[in-house]
Amino acid sequence: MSKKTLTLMSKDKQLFNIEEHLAVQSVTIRNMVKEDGASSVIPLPRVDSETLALVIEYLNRQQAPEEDEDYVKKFVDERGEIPTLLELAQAALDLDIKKLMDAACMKVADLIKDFTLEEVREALRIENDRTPEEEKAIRDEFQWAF
Amino acid sequence: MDVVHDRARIMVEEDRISNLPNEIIHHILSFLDMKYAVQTSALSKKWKHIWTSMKHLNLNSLTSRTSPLFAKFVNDALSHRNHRKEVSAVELSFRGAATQFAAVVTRIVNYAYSHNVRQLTLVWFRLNYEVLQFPQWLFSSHTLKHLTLATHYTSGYGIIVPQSAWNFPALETLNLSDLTLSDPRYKSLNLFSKCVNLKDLILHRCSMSGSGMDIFNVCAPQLSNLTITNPLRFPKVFNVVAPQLQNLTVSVLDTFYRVMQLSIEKLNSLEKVNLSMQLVFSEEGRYAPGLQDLFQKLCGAKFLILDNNIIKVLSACLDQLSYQPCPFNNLKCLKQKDRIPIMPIKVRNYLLQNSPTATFVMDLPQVPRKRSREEVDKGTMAKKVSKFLYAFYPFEYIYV
Repeated sequence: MSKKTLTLMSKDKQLFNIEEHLAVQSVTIRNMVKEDGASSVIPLPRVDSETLALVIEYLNRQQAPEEDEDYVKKFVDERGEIPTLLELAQAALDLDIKKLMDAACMKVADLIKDFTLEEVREALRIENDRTPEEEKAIRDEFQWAF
Repeated sequence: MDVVHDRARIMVEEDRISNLPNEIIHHILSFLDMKYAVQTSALSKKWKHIWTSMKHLNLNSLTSRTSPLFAKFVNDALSHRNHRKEVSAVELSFRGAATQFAAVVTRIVNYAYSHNVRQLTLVWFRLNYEVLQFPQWLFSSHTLKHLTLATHYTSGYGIIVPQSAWNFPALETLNLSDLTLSDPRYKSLNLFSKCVNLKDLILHRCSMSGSGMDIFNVCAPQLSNLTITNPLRFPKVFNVVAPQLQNLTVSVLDTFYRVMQLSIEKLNSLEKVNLSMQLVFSEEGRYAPGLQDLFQKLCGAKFLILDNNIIKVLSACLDQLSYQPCPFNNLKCLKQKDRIPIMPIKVRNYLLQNSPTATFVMDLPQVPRKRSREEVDKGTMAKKVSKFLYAFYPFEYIYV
């Protein structure tokens, strides 16, 4: 019996094949397969091809269940760049892959946990759109947390 | 120059995170302390209110300099939070004297319960030999699915919990560590009878008997996994009524094996049994009747995992045991937990005599590897801790 293959399409229209029994680790895909057999291409409009390639690599892993936790941790560790991790988190959210979502978000948290606000802004490319006066006002409003 | 160039490149890249769904931002912040989450309100205008709808709250008293400051932080944070959003999980760690935290713990748990919390973790790092009494109302919630209660550090049951049945109809996992689960006023205790959906129960270093209380009941119709490790006091009768029980893990002192009467009814679903014993007195022969009795009750198990001490006891009293056939008649796999020494062949033959298709497994690594420095250290640390405990609690061990 040949294994059934699904095709996923990234937002930049690249196609990726993956065996169905591996793809259904994604709850989103599992539900699609259940509904209409998912014979055609599954579009993922918020996931770019670079990230989707990573997700496919993740779904294709061949790990013993007891070593899976370690694998997932290592998988995100090796791609420890915050932008990549955020894209992975977005993909994991859209595809509903809990383990990947947890691991990616946890890694980001781990990377920024000792940062000052200024460093967080820089690491996450957040533009400070407040004037110094406005920022002081906010810090005063939440002074019990600073 | 390169640094300047890199900086410029970073600045022109888009602000990705602020455009991600709040769900992802909340998920990232859920791994950080709530104080950190509140501080993100100063990042930019968009971030001002993001933290207020977080569903996962992490609170740790160590992030405040004093316990009154922590109480103030909790009060302010909870009153600024968006009340319309449910709370899915609350994790609270606090360190210090019980009296300083009674009010704030109450405030947090009340808030969690009134926002339909599903997961609650309370960890108390104790400094002195004092006791924190949890009130009855804390043990009643219709939404709670996962509860962890633990005292950390040194010896003994720091938290005393109420002794009438806990009212957690939705609870699925319960993890109790270093608690007193006994009451001198009653001979018998049945705490989990109202936890009708309980599937996983872990009792770690709990005290389950004392001053006249002899019977500890675990009656849970849906219970699938039961783990009892290193109890500080073990009841005369440990009564398990759990028809759905699949996995049982027991790691207790040798004396407990001698005295305990595990009263287990109708275990038709039993899959895996994992037994360990800590040997204090080297009188292996004395524990044979207890073990045989236990084996009778667990005879339907498919997987049996034994540690070296159990094997040692079996080996020492095999002559006594062999008068009767081995109770296990359904084993698919017998596993030795420790790698060396290899289980004596006569013990293996005894255990497998009525399970002809069973395999014997040793947890051999596929490639021999050297233990890392870290593992070696861990090993010695664990040994030190257990020796310390034996030195500290000799009386309980003897008198149980």
